[in-house]
Amino acid sequence: MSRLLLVIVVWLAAAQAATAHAMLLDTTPAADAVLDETPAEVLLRFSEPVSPVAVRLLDAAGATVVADPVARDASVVLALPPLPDGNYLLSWRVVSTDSHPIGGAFRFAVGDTPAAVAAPDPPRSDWTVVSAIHRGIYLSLLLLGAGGAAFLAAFRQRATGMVRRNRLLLLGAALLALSLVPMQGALLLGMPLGAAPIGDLLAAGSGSPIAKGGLASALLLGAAAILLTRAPGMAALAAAGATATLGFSGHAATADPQWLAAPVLSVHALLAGLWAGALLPLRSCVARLPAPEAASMLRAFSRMAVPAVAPLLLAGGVLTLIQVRGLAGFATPYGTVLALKMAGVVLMLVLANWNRSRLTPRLSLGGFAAVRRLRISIGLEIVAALFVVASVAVLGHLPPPRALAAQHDTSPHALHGGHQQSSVAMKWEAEAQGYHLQAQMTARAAGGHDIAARFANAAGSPIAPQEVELAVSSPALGLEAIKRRMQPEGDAFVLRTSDISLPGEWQIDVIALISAFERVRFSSAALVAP
Amino acid sequence: MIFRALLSAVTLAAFVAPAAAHITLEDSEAAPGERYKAVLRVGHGCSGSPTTTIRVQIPDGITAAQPMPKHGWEIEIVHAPLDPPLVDGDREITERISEIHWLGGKLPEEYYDEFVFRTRLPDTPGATLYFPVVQECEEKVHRWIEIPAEGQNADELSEPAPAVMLTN
Repeated sequence: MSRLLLVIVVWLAAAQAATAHAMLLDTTPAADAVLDETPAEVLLRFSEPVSPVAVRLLDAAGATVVADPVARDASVVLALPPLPDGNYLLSWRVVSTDSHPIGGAFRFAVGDTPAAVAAPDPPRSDWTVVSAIHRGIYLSLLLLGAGGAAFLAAFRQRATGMVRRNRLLLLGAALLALSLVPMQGALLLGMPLGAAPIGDLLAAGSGSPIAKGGLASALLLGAAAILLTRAPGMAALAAAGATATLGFSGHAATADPQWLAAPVLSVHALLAGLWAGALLPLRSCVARLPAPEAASMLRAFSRMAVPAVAPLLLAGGVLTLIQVRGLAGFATPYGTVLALKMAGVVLMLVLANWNRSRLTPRLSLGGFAAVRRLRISIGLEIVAALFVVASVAVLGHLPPPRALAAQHDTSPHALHGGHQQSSVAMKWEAEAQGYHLQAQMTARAAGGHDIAARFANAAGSPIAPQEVELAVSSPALGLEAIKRRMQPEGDAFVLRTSDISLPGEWQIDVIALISAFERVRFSSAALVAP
Repeated sequence: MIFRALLSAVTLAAFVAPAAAHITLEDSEAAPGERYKAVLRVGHGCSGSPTTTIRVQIPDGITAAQPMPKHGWEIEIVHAPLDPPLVDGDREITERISEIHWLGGKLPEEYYDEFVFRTRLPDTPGATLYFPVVQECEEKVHRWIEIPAEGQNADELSEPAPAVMLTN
């Protein structure tokens, strides 16, 4: 019976895979249209009925103007208020009946618009702050709960009576992990607080890596909370798994080299959890156990913890190298917060060392003064740990100075500055399926940019693809891909554009049709500085 | 009871499945080393425009392929050199069919049709063979040529290449 079920389920899945995905047929106004006055609505026509997930109209400054789409037959309509003259970007994401999400973006202009788009403010909504606070609490509960579970597993006999608090920590972390999904949706939609129905938030958030990591983490944390009394070892393992999901979401999940960044971040988080999570139980032990016993326990913990400090710091160092790439990166907001985090870690190290080498020996000699001092000192260490976690939560919402920042030749403002006389704003290279891409973006004196792409095969000889398309998207800003054909010009394919002007993390894909049957996608990340 | 519910779900799915919009092969699994009748199923044109040309690329590893003639369509075969040549008894085969084109027809958006060729599959169990297809319409072109990267699900591709998995 179970085998039959399996066969049927697999078959159903296969049958579903064959069904149609919806396609965008056309839009009114058309992509790149220049209109005399504001149209009454934006209409997206699809090949079959779809449900809108996130359809937003953004102005040139990246602020959301309208975001309440209505599905009408096989179309999606966005009613427009009168718009001031300027460039507008429509980013859409819908799901077709087979629940396959598709998305895209296009630009149109109203009235006479200047060729160059003014340097805008980053489109940060109130949600960014709420989300940073949410992430901070989640990380704190996760690390304290998971590290605490490991501590309880290791010192089962002497750590009785702390199970309940630890279970509450784990459950709290699980709840917050679950709420990462709508939180991420709110960030992507960028709507004002309280304006978005929860269903929209869930739908918009469910695809993001952070939300997926959150779901996995919630399940593991729930399991850990249940297992904590009966099988503390298993509980610690499940909680460790939840901590490891941190490595596969957020900035590090998209950082190059990915094979290095994600595992290193997981290890970093696990070791940090072991340290931070042990602090609460240790403090309780000092208060509750007879002094000599507490001292021997502190020493036992030190023997385990001290060797873990070096790999913890090493992993942190590797991540810093990946994200910051050199001292200049510390001048950015990301670098500043990272420096604050490091200061917090140094404080924790100093306190830990003080506890270990000074206070613990005094504790074994006995005396209330030693107990009190140790409790205060461990309490301070907890505060420092929370400060470190808070700075991590803020880091998650700031663009790291990696990627293109390192490739900028001169000014970080060159990407959207119209002043430079055709200076090369950025260059990048990419490999895919044995082919090589060399691309550069040049600022035009009149405003906007030229993007030029050249291709070579594995042997290094230049090749001319049949067609080349450029797709620019920003998962971080919740913007779908804007796609443009690049035109052959001499030995290169060229696109004149004024689109890339919103600061933030962008993904640039160059998609080349090498032959009738072979298409290659070169993906790169780009950081547009504010 | 559960079985019955499942059965009705299966029946429903069976009716839903022919709505396939991708160009796919009728048999998505086949035995390695055996003859294979490849049936390309074409369920729609290009956003309303009728299909006028189907080109399929025969993957490396397949040395022989025979298209089935089709009323209303001309067939064109493209050869590619085989290097090194294949020795079959005392015969040396120096080229293989690399593409089959069906040209000059007109398949309206609303209609369904099949494009058939016969081939012998390589004896490599476990492998998946991709037959990239270019569908040309009066207006626009669909390229069913995407091959999933390692670890990627073919469902995530917007225009996946028709594929057959070699299983015993």
